[in-house]
Amino acid sequence: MKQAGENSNSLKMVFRNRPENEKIVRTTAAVFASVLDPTLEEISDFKTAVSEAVTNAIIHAYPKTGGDIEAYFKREDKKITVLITDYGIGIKDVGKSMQPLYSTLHTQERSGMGFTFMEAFADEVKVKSVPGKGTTVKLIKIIGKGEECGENL
Amino acid sequence: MGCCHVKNQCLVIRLPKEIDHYQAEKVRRECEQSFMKFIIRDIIFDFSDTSFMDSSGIGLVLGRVRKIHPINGKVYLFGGNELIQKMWEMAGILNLVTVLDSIEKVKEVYE
Repeated sequence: MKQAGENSNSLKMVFRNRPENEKIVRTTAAVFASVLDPTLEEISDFKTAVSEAVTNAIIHAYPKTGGDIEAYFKREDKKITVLITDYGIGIKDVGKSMQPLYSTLHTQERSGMGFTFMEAFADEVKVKSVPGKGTTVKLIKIIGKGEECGENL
Repeated sequence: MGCCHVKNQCLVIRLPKEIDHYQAEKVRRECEQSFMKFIIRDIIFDFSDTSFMDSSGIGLVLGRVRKIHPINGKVYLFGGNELIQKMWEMAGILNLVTVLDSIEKVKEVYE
């Protein structure tokens, strides 16, 4: 018998801006998506996209202090939506920040490829940011696209 | 610990299972120590054990390229699954490094 709401689920977590949390969040993302029976490629793409968003928040949002970051996962059928939200310094120029190789942290070893990889490995990427208030990155990943459209796509 | 070793002025870095920002920082610190202790000319990044990587792995390679190119050294990449190879290509680093496709070629570099 089908239970109501069987095709949907949601999960929210709040974590400190500590680099060791990167693994916890992306692993949680992978487990959250695993119910949809993703291929290995889908799961690593999804993990990479989530990792980029989480790392960005950890590195950039609170440059001098500790701060909390929220990760919200929602599943509706095959569509997974991820929101990574911080209440940090925000991004002055979102368009610029999404350009390949652009990074504000020249002293650190950042490649400037974070958003490029998010766009490559998620189906949709949206960024909302208010300087001084914070940033939300929204990622959408559809699992099982190959099955619907035929394997050669 | 202990992902770096140096042989004939070549630094071989055996990368961890997962390369994220946290792990990349650890590797970077170890590399810096090797640079202080040894004379290093070339670098081989060995991705054989790596199953997950994000853009931090690209940052790690680029950082070493910047360090080694001014002294005419070379950076080599070895191993790496399909996804990792796709990332090298997307990040446009393949014109800065040489990809080694067999262990024999790796040995040729440091022997």
